[in-house]
Amino acid sequence: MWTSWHRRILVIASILGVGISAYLGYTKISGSSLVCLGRGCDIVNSSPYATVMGIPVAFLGLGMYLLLLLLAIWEGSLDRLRTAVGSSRSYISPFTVHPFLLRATIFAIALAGTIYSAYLTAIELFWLRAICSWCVASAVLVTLIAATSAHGLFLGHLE
Amino acid sequence: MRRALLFFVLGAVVVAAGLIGLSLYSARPPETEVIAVPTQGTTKGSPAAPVTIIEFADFQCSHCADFASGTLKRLEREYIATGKVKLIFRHFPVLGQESVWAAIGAECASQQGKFWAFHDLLFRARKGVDSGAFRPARLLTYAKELGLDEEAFRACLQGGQVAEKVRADIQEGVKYGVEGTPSFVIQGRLIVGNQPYDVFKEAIEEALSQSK
Repeated sequence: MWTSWHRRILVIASILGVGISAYLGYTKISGSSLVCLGRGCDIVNSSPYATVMGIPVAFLGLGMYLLLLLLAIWEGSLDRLRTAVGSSRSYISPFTVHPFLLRATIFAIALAGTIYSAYLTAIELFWLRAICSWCVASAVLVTLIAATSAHGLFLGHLE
Repeated sequence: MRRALLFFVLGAVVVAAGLIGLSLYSARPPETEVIAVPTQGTTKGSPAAPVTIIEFADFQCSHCADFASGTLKRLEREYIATGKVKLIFRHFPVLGQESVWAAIGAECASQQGKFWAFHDLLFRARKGVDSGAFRPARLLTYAKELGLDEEAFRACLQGGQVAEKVRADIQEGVKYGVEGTPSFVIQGRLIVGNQPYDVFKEAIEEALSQSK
């Protein structure tokens, strides 16, 4: 079963992710220093790996977390969208889609985010030799979202 | 459902691989732009240039590296190559022991007329603070890479003469009120941090109008 606990974890982790990536993005464009555990944040945030084709990675993360948040809220409201009209008919709203589609999309986005975060963490550890605590926090959040959605998918659709 | 999920997983892997490829592509070292700028020691630009910028920097500082690869290139094009500005590099090694080693190494390269090439190489090779990128053994490999006389470079690293020059640079910075890197002095005016290009432009234009 995809339970309310899955939904809560997805929504809370996505909101935290939006906050972290917005903070990282703001410091990147304003050029200000990051409040950081240790002194690796500025090294990482000013490295060439902090942008992809000129776009700060933090903004890619912000887009991803906003999308995940939107999808998680949408998934959570599917039951309410399918409101019973009378006793025999159901009203299907334009936002009603098969729950599997939304859940698998959440999982796929979070999986891509997890793989990319693993790559960035490897760059931090082995190439830059500096750790950005905010980036690690974001990597943990996206991994949590991927694991939670995988768990929910397995229980709800594949078991 | 299992088969459908497989497509989602494959899609995720393809998207992630594409992003990693783009990231590696955009992080590749920039092609070096060749601008004809006269250099002498740690000075870049014509000695007769009416405006002087003194830069105080640390080779381990990320904002100094950003300045070197960004704003400095634009200043070179707009003001240094045109003979309006000369930039003097002064060492202000504050972040750690390897900052001091890097400064000494750059001065040793300067003795062989390769300060700016060494400057660019150090900023490209910069990693974390005191991570080993600027150990004396590594500095020797950079010297070798630039075709410097290895024995002379090694002797210079071990001699104390260059350390004196670095100490004098720090004292000069303190005199100007420098507390962190990068800091710049443009005709007596102190600019702190890797400020946007327009901040430098404004200060230079003001200094140019005063020098007329």
